[in-house]
Amino acid sequence: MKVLEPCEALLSNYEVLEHVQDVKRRYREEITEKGRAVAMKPGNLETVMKELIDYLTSTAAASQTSETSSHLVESLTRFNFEKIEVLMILNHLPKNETELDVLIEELESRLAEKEIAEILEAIHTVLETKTNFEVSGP
Amino acid sequence: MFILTRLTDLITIQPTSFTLPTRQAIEDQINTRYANKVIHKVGLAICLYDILKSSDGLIGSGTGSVNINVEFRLIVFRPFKGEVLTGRISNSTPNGISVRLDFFDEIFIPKDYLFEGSVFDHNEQVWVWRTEDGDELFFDKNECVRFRVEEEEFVDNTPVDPALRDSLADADMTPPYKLIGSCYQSGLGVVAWW
Repeated sequence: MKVLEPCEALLSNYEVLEHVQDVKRRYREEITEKGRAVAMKPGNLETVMKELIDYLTSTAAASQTSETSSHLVESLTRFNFEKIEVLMILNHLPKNETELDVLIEELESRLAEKEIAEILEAIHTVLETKTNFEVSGP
Repeated sequence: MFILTRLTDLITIQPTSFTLPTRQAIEDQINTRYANKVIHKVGLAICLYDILKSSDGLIGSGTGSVNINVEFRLIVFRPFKGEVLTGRISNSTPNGISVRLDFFDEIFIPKDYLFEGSVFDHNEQVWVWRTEDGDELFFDKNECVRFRVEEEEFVDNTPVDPALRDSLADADMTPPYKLIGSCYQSGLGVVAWW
């Protein structure tokens, strides 16, 4: 084994959830097609996928779709956030200023109150799109 | 929280897997080898993301297995320093609070990294944050907490003789990857507080 590039890209929680659910779906289709014995998957993969889905569906990732998240990222570009700050906003979808302040360093000196309100509004619209969802953490 | 890591590895496919499409056989092998395992100084590997390149398969003498050089990317759990995560409190001791995510258990918030004015309640076995207003806020077990990642620690465990492994208690095994978190800023701590 050789590590060529330890960190090639960052993934958002939503992207990981999508990918894992995709893998799971593919395996399930195979089971119905060929029978359980042929489509056996490694046990360690099964464990980590189940636990990861349990965790991620209880976070903000479950309330996103690829459209809403790319839309949110676009609306955040004009605030000159660092890449990791955008990523954290995407993963947490903060609901109020205190929650946003934890994610963004020196929030108040960097942005005007009006701009903060705009960000929270943009996040709110993402949450609106999937209604019966509660962001209560894992 | 998650990153993509590019690796190469020599993947061996046993003759019993020859009935499968090559692609699937390679995927299964990679997942068996890496899923839910810690790669030293990289992080906790979750699963295969995609295969970038693979060489022709070569049959080694004596075994009949096919050896293929594969270049691929893995999804890896590796939060960066300063990242904010949410998890559940799994245990509290006078030294601090243990937090777990469903798929990762080794997170510890030492007592020095808790809010100023936090005390440990020995009767209830929980940490209590006494705020300046005189309120008492409890870090109850199984509560959902938000914390910041302060440090990470990789330990390269030397393999243990399989014959001795059973006699070792779990406590003797140091986790290969663990995180140290903090909770001393407004917005952190139990999610329901804010």
